[in-house]
Amino acid sequence: MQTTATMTGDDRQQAFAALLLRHAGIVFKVANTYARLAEDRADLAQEIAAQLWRAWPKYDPARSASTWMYRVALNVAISHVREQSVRQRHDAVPLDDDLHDMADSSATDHENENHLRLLQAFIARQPPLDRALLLLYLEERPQREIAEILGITESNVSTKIGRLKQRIRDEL
Amino acid sequence: MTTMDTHMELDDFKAAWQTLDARLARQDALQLELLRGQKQAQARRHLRPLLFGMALQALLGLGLVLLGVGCWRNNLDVPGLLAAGIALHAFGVLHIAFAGIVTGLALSLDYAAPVLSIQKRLRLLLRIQVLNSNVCGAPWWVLWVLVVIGFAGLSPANLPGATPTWIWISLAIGIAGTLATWWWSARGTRGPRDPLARMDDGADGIRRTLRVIDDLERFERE
Repeated sequence: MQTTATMTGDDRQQAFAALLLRHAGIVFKVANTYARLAEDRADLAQEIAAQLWRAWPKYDPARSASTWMYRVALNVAISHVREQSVRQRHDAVPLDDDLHDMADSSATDHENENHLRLLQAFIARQPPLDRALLLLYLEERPQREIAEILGITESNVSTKIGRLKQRIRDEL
Repeated sequence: MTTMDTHMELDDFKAAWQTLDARLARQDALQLELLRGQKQAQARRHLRPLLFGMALQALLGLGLVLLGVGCWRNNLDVPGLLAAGIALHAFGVLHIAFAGIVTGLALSLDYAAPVLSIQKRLRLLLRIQVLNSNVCGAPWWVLWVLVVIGFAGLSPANLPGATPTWIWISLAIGIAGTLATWWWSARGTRGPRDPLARMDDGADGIRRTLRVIDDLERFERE
């Protein structure tokens, strides 16, 4: 297996920086999904980047970079949520304050804004593993890739997405 | 929030998600700064206290083995000191073994593995940590007495004939304390919904472990 471990130090660092830049969105979306406060989000994004760097020598460039990044980012984020046990109890609180922080002053689409609030609140209520599934579904990752990231079968992914849809209908 | 009567489907969420995505993208330039620097230093931040603790536990275990061996080898014909020496030796081996297992598991965590398999690995690590605290931590109620006896057993010529009363009293208190600690710990494992389990925060680590296990088992089952 050809991995990044065979690169020289500088090449490896540059290749990592380029990959991180190209897929930074994955890090921020995962951090945003699992951390409620801006400060926590920043910590989590840094923690994910640190673990990506640590896992980088074993990365096989022949395989999908996004799958690899999702796996590392989600594993770090799920562990992060579990470490924050006290805050986790408050995660069920809607993310109104953060939404205000992030709100675009030019946004006039109230329905979309409402949907966004509902989405944030729904995400916050989900257990960590379901959040991972929801995030990957919303990112429109193929079921095969979701299965590969989570370590479950494709049919299981399909079943779980069906249940997730039902839960949304029941709760919203 | 709950008073909103907007009816949504999962696919409606996708439009909202795109809005969020666009907002995050606009912040990328600022956020990218977050990802620079301190990468390697931070990578093992969470692991370091655990590994340091396990190294100390292994050293303590080695000390207990040396003390235990010294005690039982010098007192093969004194049943009480022989038993204390063997107990110290055994606890020393347990301390080293658990430290080795926890360290091995923690170091072999590969965050690039599939989510479910790495979470199962973490569940195993948490279970072993709980077991470690019950097997190597709680018995220190008694172990400190055995350590005193062990040191005394290294020079048996200076020992008094009969076992001092304070040792019997300390052993009795220690055994009661160990049993009470185990009971307290078991009470915590009844789960977060148990009213008794919410009485203190001392068992929070155990409750957190249970949440991990519950969540993982539910996700696999559904």
